[in-house]
Amino acid sequence: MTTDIWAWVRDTHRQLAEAGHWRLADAMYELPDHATEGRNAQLDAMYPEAVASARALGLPWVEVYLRHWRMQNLLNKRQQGEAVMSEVVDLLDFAHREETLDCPQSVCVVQDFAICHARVDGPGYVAERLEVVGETLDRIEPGRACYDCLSREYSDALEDDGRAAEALAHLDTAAARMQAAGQRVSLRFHQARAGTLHLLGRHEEVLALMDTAERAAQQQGQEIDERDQRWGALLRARALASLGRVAEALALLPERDEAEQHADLRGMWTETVELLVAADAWANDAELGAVLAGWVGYLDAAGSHRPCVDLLLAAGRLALARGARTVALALAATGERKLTQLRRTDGVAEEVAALRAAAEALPVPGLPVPPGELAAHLAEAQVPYETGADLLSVALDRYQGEQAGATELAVLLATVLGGLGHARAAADLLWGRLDADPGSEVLTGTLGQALIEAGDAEGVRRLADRLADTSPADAHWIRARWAAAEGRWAEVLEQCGAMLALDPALINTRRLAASAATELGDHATAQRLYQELLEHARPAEETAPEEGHRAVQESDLWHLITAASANRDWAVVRTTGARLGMEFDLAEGPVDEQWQLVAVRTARTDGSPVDVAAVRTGPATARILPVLREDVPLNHGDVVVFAPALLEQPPAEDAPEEERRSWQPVFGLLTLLDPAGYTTHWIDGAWPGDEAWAELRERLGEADFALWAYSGEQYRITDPAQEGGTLPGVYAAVGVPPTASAAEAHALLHRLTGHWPHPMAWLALAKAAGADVARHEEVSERYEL
Amino acid sequence: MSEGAPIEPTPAEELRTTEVDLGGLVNVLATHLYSTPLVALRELVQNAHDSHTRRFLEDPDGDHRPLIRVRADAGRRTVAIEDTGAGLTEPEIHAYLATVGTGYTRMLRELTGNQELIGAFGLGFLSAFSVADEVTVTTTSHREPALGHRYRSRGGEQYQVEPVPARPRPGTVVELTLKAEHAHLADEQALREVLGRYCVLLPIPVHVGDDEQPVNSVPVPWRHEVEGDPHDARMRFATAFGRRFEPLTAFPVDPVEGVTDAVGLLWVQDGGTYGSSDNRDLAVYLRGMLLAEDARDLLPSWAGFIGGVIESSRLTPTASREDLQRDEHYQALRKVLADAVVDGLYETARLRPAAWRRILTRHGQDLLGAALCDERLFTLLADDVPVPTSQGDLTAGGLRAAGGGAVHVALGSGGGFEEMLYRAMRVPIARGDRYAVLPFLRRYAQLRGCRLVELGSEQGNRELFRDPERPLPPEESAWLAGALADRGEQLVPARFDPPGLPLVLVPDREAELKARIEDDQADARIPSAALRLARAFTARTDGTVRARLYLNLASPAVQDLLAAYRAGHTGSATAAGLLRSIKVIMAAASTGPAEGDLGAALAGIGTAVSALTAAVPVGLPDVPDSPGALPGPA
Repeated sequence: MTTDIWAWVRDTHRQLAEAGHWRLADAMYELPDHATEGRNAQLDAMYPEAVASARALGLPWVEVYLRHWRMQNLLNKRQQGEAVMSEVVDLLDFAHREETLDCPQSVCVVQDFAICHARVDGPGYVAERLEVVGETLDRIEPGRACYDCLSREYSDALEDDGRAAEALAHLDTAAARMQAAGQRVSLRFHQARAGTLHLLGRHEEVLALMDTAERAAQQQGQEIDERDQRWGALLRARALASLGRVAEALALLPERDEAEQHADLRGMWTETVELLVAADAWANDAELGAVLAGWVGYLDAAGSHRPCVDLLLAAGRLALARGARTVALALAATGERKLTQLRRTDGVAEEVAALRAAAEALPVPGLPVPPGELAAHLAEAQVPYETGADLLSVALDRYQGEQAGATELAVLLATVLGGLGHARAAADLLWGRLDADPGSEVLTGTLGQALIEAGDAEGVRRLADRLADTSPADAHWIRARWAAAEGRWAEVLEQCGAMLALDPALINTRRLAASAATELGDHATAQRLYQELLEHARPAEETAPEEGHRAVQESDLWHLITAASANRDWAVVRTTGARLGMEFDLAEGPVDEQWQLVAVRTARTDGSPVDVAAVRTGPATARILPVLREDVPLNHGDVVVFAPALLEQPPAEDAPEEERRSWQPVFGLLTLLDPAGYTTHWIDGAWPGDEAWAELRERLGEADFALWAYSGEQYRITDPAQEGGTLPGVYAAVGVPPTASAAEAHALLHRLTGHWPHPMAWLALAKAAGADVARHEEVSERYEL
Repeated sequence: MSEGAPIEPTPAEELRTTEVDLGGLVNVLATHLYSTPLVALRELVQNAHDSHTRRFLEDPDGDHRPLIRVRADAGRRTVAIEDTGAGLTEPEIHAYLATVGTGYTRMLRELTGNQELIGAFGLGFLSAFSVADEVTVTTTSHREPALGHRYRSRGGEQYQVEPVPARPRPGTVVELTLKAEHAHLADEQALREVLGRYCVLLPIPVHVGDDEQPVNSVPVPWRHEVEGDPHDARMRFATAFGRRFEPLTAFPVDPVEGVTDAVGLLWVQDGGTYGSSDNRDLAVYLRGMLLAEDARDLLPSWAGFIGGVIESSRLTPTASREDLQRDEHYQALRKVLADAVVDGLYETARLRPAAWRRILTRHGQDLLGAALCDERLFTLLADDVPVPTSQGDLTAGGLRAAGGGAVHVALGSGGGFEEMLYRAMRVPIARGDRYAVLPFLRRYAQLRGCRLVELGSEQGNRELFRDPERPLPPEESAWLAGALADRGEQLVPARFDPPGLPLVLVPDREAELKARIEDDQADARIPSAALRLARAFTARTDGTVRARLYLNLASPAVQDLLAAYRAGHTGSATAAGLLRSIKVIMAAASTGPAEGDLGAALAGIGTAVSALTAAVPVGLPDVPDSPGALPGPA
């Protein structure tokens, strides 16, 4: 059995690189680095390809190795728990198959498995973790690198059981064994030992240990990487804060941003901040509370149940100290829910109960105004969020009027809670309100919006199902908006159609349905919906401002014009345009006028955007000017419908004159209306001079051909008459109309350019025309085109 | 003539130099400090340059045409570095050529604050002995233009100085008689290449051999006002400098007030090398001389396609002067360079669309990864960078448009029922197993508010299957389950695309895992305590459902089957058998055989075909062959 993992990594790296699999070879070195340094984006970028390559090459050891390091990142750096349990179990299984059993990294997978249980509920799984890690430790030599990691894992389990002294003894025995076996004790090992010393209250020793351990590592030529620097600073800061050496602690404590970025720092960071708050050296404010609430939510979602409870208890203590009653109660509620996910609750259950009791014992603020006026008062007096939450909670409790008033308070409270980082509590509040006030559109709307924004598919479905019987239109509306948020346009139409069947007078529903129809390219339906919308909309003058969406808006008219243009319903284009104050040169027939130069934004065949010059021929139509490359699905003379919303804002009033003059409106392509059928061919050669070029353009134009130069002034070609000399060149596209064959185009170009002092080349066109290509090859070669 | 030990130089602090073990030091220089013997040449050119600067300082009004010329003579195995600078007087020879750890230039710089003086450690001259057996210095000081001196030493420990005729003009020639193992340095072509890079930023012309054109003749775009488009000047410089690749575009690095004085040029390289995607290439100059040839770590790690040159007087060299100390300024400069790359790419996208498209084509894969590391870069690249898909390279926008508003990405390396579904619909699928594709698209979807369908994940599966418009009556469900599902398969009525596909089997990964972990064979391979704990986990999954059989109620085939069943059509069992066979065959093709028996499924097709084509037995009524042909209700 190979026991030196790094020797194997080096060997494998070399073999992979020699065999040409250098990206996988690179990943062997870089992936563990990314994983342990917390460069999550880079890890995520590299991992799928690396694993796929390992599988494709049939290298199960490499697969174990890559999956293990990514798992280390997920468990340690990103503090994932339950969320990755099935992946860990799958990895455990994979790492113990016949083909992987001898892989030196398979042992470490056992550690991943143990860590995952530590995240889920460290104290709850103490016995199992000790057993799992102990059984593996028994099988390996202290000289192996894994002995170091596994020993730390073993001591962590002891610590979780409240046996810190035993943990320390275990670490020291392990260190002695490793040293006896000639194995160096890692810096991480010392950091783990520092953590144990902290639990024993031996803070001075933490400081001394970190110093000697880092020095020793450096003396052995090891660079203290960023991860170790952060941990070193944090371990010291916590020790210093524990010793009351506040200023030194403050100087070392990593910035909050770092804890934002590296989830593994958050627990210890919060612990240190709690000490600093107690020493009056850190502001215990709502902002801190919101950050901690966000972290609690993260751990909750990751299924890291035990760290979640530990963190929310800290957040709860801080909230109590601030007197933030509602926030403390929200945390207590989260704690109560999390307790049900723990295996062992002694200690924490009491703490959660104490949090609730203390929160309830906080003074209930008096209302400065009657509940019904509170919302206005909060805004006017700019009441801080946490105070606002407390006031709203009281108001909600005491409110006695109509349900709508209570719902308004609840919606506002939910918004405030959301802002304070308690998204789950906010949603729960609204769900709870739903029983009391099932018919409230504001309530279902707010809740629906919150669920859609959170991407909570399950919640959306639950809400819609719940509303389906009592207010089916609301249920359809939520499903429609959810489908729209996800771009499922056919479903949007389906849901909106169901709503319109229930109430044909709906306005916004038609707007959403029409935009879905437009997305689907169903312009007939879009036009019908906008026309119906005009019929059902209220007259603008009779509509109160807050009901503005029930009146016709200018954008409705524009959309109708767009849809009618796509449907060639020119009469509607004209009448609707007239409502917007447009004047048309002709009163009937297709709208085909010359308005202004615009650019139409479309996509190349690979999807990248490109702006194409065009003449606007109507409110939402334009004719394409240039002869285009094959990778743009439009060409000269094509008439297109565009969406008449500006994609780029015009330059500001004070922008330079030049910028303002050269600005052109850019519109998004909606659909191709009338293809002109031009084919693009290329000509290349020496620039014949302005006059000859203008003449060529004119003659081609007379034959319904088009010409578009692509080269600029810097384009120069080889002058065959002069060693090292160059000539100004031109590279241009010729648009051949559908009425002309390639042979005719070839002949016409010959006729028009044959007399030029330097011949032009059009190899591809000559080929297409079945003409002799030798001349064109010769020209290309001679002028080095 | 003096001989033997050097006279004691002043000031007093330099006295200690006499105690230096020169032999040992030279050995250190030769074997440890400098990575290549060429560095010795760099040091000597640097001394020649300093000598000119010194002359400008000491004799600002003199008639002084600065020039450095380096010659090599392969036959004699010599290299000579000649300058027309200040030259040395005899006391200066003793003081500066034989003194370690001080150096006149450093003293002068400290006195005058002149930043053009390069040398700093006083080791420069001594380094000559790391490549040469013998070093001769012939010099005439501009202060004593009538006198000439020649210093000569083998090994550097012992030296002699003798008078020689004055040189025609003040200045110095250092001639090295190379050690046998460094004979290859006496090659003017090699010198041109090396010095072209070392001296590219030196203001004083450096010639090799009898060349009229100095090796440093390319105008430095940030030093000189160039005529015409500054971009052209940058490209000329980058083209002349970039050894490995032609540049695709070049953009400036400008000093940032209060952060760094670094100035220079970065460029995007064309192409890559075999062996790594990290082709970062950054040369750092200090006061005009090359300090670090490969300072790639100053560039962001994602910028594997960037080359460049910068100069800064605030970077601190390590003692070897080939690397940089990772101090505060170094870290600040890293940030500045990362910004410069991003700014430069923005400029390119805006002003040079053709170059931008070439960059996207050439470095698309690296850019995908880079976009993840820098928010601004992501914004720039989100719509432009190509993503590998089942239908060639497409942008995320292209994928989205072709996917009907959703971006589809396959998590596995191909295969699977989901991909088959999308293939049938001709929807392009991004290759999630390629570098950076999945996280890039995740962020794209988040930013652009579009749906990302991850094929092969639970979420991806849920995306595919919509609930039926109406639930099926239990009795029909039961019949369908009996007719279509095998053991361990749960029938799920749903609607999905394409309608031509009547049913699809989706294995349950949790159940698969449970089966493997709870299998008796696991006892032999997985350590017992770990296995017990793993089984505690899998015990939580039910495991009786091995796969879900999604039945497409939007499929005409299924609708016809149901209609036939409702009408009591005798062919419905045959039709169901046919669908069941299709299910097994498709599952075998995409994910390997499930419960169903592939052989039996294939035979089932034959059975169905023969049932459908069998002659109607005499005496039986005609079997209606479609629901439409059924007699109406009486």
